[in-house]
Amino acid sequence: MNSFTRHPMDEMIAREVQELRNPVSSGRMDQAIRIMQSPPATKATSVQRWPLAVGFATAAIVAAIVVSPLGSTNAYASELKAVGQAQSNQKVVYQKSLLFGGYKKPMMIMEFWTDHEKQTYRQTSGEGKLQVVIVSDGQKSYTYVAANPKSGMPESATVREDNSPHFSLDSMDSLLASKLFRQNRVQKKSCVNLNGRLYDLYSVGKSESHRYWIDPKTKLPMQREIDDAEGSIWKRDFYQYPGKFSESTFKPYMVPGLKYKAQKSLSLGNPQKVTSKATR
Amino acid sequence: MNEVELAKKVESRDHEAAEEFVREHYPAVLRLTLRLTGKREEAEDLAQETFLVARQKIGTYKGRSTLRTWIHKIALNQYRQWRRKRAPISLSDQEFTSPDSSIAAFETGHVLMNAMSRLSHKHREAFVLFEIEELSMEEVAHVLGVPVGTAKARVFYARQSLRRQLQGTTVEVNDELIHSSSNG
Repeated sequence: MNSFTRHPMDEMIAREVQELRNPVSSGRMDQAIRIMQSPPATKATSVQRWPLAVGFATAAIVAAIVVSPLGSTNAYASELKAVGQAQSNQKVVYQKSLLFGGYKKPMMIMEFWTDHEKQTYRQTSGEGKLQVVIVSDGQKSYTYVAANPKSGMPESATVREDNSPHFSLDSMDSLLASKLFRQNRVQKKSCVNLNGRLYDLYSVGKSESHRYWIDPKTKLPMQREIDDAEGSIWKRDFYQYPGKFSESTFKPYMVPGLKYKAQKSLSLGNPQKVTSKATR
Repeated sequence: MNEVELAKKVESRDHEAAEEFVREHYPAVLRLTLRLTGKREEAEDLAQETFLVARQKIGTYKGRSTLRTWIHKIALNQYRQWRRKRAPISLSDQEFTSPDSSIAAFETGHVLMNAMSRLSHKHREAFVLFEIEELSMEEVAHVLGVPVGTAKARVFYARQSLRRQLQGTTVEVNDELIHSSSNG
């Protein structure tokens, strides 16, 4: 990635950079095409006035254009796309463990319970300390954040009105949109034993750095592993279909003495919605 | 068709060439403005402004740099003009949050976007151009209008600052701060 001396945080930076390199969808590319097809303006005009010239119809195009089409064309790639479709709208429990090369324990464990509009997220440290719980019923979300001795932040709880889905299942979608997928062929091995069951193992990337164990019957992923640049496992995920939920799964995490407060929702591109805010 | 020929065709209002030019460069321009501003609407507007300027100046393109570098430079200038016009924003106002999800976990780029928002403008520009846009250091220097050594130094200091920030990993859920242990 670069020629600088390697630092423990570089792996995280590299992962995040990889995400930020992903194409950004936009419905306004057509406007830019029209701009370039037009005669040059005598003076650069403000883009705020431009839509009036080209008509708001273009600006109102709702369908997002996926900017960069998938480049992998082999059959296994299309099979992975089918896996992504099968995975959507599943009632699922999904556990994501972040590991850093050389560390024996996960740095962080994130668990997701998804039942359509109902969603719960729990984040615990590698030592098992609960850090965050977010519960969303599709109308409101309740967030509990544990106190942090490093920052001195107080334990807090908030509630905000938000109809948008909060967590997207870390599905195939992010892989399919990635440069890694577009630039590498997908490999497949059948009948691979994992914990006594046979799966199709798909792998992508140099040294098969991204590995997916897919149930050949349901076409759903059961496990995923991703290696870091050093070849150590960086992340290991487990999926459970259909997810098993207890009654309390989608209830806000209540801490005695801690009140939920309304809070504004900051969301890029969307108007802020008034919600309720709180701390102890 | 080389890039100078393509530019000439765009200049002479060849519609297919214009479309090819936009389809080739729009994604990178939008990504650049989005990563620099952290604001979707502003980034989209800046991308449009960039192509307005590009349309005006395409006749002056002589092939001294690649079209990619050339349009990145225009986009960066548009971003700088936008930045100068607006009042500084406090961290509590900043909008380096994911548009699609209020859960900011790793591998969404969210953690790094938040850390990048705390970099100086110069360091952020250099980092985005080099690491995210994957320009060569020479191209970064050309776009920034500085010597290669200066561009290298800016990327270096940006990375150093990001490492420091991420050491005590801070994951941000909208305006909630969530700290995670990084020693496990």
